[in-house]
Amino acid sequence: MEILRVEQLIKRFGGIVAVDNVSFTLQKNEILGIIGPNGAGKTTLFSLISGTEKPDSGKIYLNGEDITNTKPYHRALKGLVRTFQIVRPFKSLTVEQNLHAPLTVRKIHFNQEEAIQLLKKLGLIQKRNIPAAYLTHGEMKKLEVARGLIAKPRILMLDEPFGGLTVAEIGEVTSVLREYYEEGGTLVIIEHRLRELMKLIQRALVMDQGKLIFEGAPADVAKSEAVIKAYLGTDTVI
Amino acid sequence: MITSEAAATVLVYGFITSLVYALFAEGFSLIFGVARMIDAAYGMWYTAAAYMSFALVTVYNIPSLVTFFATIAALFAAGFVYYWAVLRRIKDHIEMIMTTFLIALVIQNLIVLLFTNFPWSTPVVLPGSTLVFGVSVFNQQLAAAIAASTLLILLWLLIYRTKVGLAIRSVAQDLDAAVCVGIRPERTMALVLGLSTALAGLASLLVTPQSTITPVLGWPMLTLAFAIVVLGGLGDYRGTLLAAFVIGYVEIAVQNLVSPLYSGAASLITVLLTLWLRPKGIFGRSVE
Amino acid sequence: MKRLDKIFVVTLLAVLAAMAVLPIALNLRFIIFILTLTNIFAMLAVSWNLLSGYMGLLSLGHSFFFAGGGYAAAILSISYGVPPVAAVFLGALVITGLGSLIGLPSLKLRGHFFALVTLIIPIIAYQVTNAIPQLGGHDGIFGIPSLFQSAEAFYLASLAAMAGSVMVSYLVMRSRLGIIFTCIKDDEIAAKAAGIDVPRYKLLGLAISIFIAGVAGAFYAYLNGVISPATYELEKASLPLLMTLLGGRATILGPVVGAYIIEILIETLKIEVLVRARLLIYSALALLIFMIFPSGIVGFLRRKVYGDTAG
Repeated sequence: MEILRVEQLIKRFGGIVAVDNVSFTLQKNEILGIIGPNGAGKTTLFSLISGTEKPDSGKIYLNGEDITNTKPYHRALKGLVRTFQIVRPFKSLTVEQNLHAPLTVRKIHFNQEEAIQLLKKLGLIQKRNIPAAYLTHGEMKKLEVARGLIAKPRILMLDEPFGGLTVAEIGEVTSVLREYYEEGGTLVIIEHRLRELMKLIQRALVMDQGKLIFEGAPADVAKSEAVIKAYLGTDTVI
Repeated sequence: MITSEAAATVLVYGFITSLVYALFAEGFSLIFGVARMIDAAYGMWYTAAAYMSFALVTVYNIPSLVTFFATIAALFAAGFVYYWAVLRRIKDHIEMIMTTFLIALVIQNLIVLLFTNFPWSTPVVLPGSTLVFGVSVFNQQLAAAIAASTLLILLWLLIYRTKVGLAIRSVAQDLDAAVCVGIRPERTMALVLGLSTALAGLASLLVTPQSTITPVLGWPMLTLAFAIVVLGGLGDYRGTLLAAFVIGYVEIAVQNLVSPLYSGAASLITVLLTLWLRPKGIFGRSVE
Repeated sequence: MKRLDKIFVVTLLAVLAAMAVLPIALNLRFIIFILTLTNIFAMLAVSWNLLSGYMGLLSLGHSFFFAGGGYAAAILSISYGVPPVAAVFLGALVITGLGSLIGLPSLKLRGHFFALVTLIIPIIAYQVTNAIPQLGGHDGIFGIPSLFQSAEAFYLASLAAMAGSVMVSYLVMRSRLGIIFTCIKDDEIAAKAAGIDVPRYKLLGLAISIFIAGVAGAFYAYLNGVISPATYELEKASLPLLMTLLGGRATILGPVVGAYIIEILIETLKIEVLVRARLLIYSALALLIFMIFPSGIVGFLRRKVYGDTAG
């Protein structure tokens, strides 16, 4: 069942076309990975879908409803939740209050036991009553994932969730994400750490210079000539 | 409707007022554009210059010209110290406004302590008046207009035609890149702060003779500078100049054609409407 | 509730009871007026703290809401014959509506521009009020009927209103609104991503803050029997800021503690030179505290009692 549809999105910043005519669809209960070299437009695509940026043209549909012109918090309340590449915890709130925050504006009751379980799985339980400002970078990254999950999103979009994490921390994050998926969740993940990502995702999109250059199974990514060219740089090969 | 006499008055006085406003606002614009700082104490430098020159001339009987240069030198130095001692350490915008606001209160109350709240009359430096397009203008104001235009041209030359100006513009455009080509940003910013406080002082010295001064003189001037800089697109030399003329003429027109009671409010309402309807100013960066 | 919290609440109630009973029982008439004024400014500081301390929306023009509340209540009771007690709340509602209307477009601006806009608004209000005879012009509005016949009753009412405003800010910050306000202060973009309708909650916070400031302003107008454009001036805008910085930003009791310290200082500084220097002393003190102890006296004490990281 289709849950998200993106049609011909275009976003320009000055002379640069950051997202160039990108279209794709996302199925319910799917894990989609988005990869590509730096500056390919992945984060901009996320910002367009989550509403932080407005597209110059194109449409975005969530469950068949056109959400192109809705506000970011509106999309979040409809279940389209994102995390940020550069972490943005609420620094003066404690770790637990950070989990409470998204539920203050939702009809979901804040279940402390559930929050504690989630924090345990992510190795954050000892820091529960500490303001988020005092966390390490990796802990903040995990807190963002937890803050996304606690809102019970229909789609969770993660921007480099493994960035700067240790191998053990990646394991913790992967396992809570898998759990969410097994309970019917849908994930879109931008990630540079391809080895860890490929094990998790079912389908991959590859972007380069704003364009979508590959769509298919993770196993086929490395076989695609377009992808190899994008990562190596076209001009130098010939 | 509007008599030709009233129109001439608005034209002439609007021009003079706008020039002085431009000079004052260019200083605020400079800190904003280059150092990306908002100095809530900017109006206080204006007040401080007025009181310093007042004290030197009337209390210590020092000649006007010496007073003029001494005051400007003192303000330039104050800006320099201000940057190194205070502004350099503050990263957050809100914290900066809070700190500079408190500093402004301290300076203002220091002035109250030394001079009381009494509205002192400042002495005349250039007596007499001249007819300009049939409008009688005090020589003091005429001299202010000529000095302000000269200073505005000099400032333009400094920013766009000298090496120092190049450094200032590089820091304004891209701090990291400027550092890479060997510019020391802290020195440049200290210089910019010195320039800005000196400009506030210059504007003050051109206007405050032959008037009355009070310790709260600087606050309307701060909001005025803010108004002009927002209207002009935040930190752009030409934009600020143009916006100063818009605000200057709005104020003088309302003052002469409607009522002096509304002149200050009119220009401030102009800027509020600009902020609300077109946050980017006439041309330039967004404030949202 | 922790044991420490219980002791704290009991102590607080005892202090409040003592404040209500002692000045009246000892018949300290000359102090009662001063304490009434202190309660009014404490309310104003509580209001400022809610907006600028907790929500991070720096207001340099709280005098607009304060004077506006005073003017609205005065006009309501003189020209429309509204009974004073009702006029206090209606007046506060009027200024809340007006302030929110002006605030609505300004809240979209980035934080430092919002601060500068708040600096402009009272200046406009001052000039407009000065120019409109219906608002009393330069001289202001005279002969505002008294809120209560006896000074004691007025004092008790001001104490109750002040305690009420503290209670409101406590309840707000303890509720889900408190979390939402803190999110907005910490990171607006992340707050939006978490689903928070940032403009709406900013407006709500602004409205609560204006209402409290408006009530304080109405009390002020009734206490003096007159309200003039001078109330818009910078002193009234900077006092709540200085009081809150002194007592402790983003703490519940900070503004009240700061208000009492400053008002007691005012009364102690009766010597002529010191009276003239009082604003210099406060601003220098606030600047020092802001730079050295950003969380003020109450924040400092709380760290001593609860340990370093307790929220």
